[in-house]
Amino acid sequence: MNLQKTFPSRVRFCAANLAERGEDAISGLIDLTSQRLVRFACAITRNQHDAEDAVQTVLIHIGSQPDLLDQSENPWSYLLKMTRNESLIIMRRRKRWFSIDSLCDLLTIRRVDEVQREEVYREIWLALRRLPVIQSEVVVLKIWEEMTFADIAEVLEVTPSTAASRYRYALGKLSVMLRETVGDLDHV
Amino acid sequence: MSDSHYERDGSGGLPAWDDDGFDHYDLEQWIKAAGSYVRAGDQLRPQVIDEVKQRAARRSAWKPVVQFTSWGLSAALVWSLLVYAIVLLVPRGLTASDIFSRAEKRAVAAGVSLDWALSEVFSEARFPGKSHGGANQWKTANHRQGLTDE
Repeated sequence: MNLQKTFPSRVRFCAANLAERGEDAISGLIDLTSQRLVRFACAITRNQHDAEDAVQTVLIHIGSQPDLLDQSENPWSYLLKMTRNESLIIMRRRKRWFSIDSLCDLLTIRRVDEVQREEVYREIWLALRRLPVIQSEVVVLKIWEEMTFADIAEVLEVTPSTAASRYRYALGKLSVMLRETVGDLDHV
Repeated sequence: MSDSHYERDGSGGLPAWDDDGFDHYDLEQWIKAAGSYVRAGDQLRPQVIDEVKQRAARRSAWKPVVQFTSWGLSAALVWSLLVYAIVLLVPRGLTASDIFSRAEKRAVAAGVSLDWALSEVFSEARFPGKSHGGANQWKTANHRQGLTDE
């Protein structure tokens, strides 16, 4: 059984648990989803602090009204949709200026065996930040969340062909950006 | 673009960059690997749990107040409806002004004094089924002739 199939069902289980046990079960949902939600929100807000604000708002809302998630048809898609909406609201509200060419705000995991790859990862994150939001969010959902275009379309409220088109354009741009920036690196 | 286009089976490890064959599959694998580079902040979890618990505590503190208020409002609503139904459905008795106006009309029509007409109207109001006609006529006639004790 691969992760792609099990993750939404794990979220569903967590949602049912939350609805049954109330706010005491919120920690399970946080542990399961916060990393992915922050990553997704980061692609939209392009800033980790704002992304965490969005995720925090969503999780608090879910913790206060657990039935919302339990009653939804697809709890994981519902969470992603909520996070996206909250991220967009924060983006609209945001007054402060920030540079998308910087990754100073990101909290990263540095594994010993991936030190050499860190620079590539940073280039990828920078490249994602340089993409338009409508394209970067599709990339995140497609590659990191391993969703189909139909599922992505449901979260983003567009047609599957639009999602596929955005993904194609995004990948085209990313390949240009990463070829230029990462191409000089030695094979990792 | 179909999903199957990207569903090539990877070799397991990360692909190497290839300037000549920079295909999307390699790119996807690199992006996928970069997904675990970023993590959520340490404060996110405790902040969410703390806020959710605080909200739950606030909710439980307000619960009796809300329940009491809702019960009170419901009771007031039911009471108002009951009073309205009683006022609407139960037949209303004669008021003083009704009796007085009837007595005035009777006094004018029968040519009797107002106090006698009032007495008749009161009798009719108290015993609606009884006929007061004969006695009244007799009393009225006697009253006209001045034969009553009054």
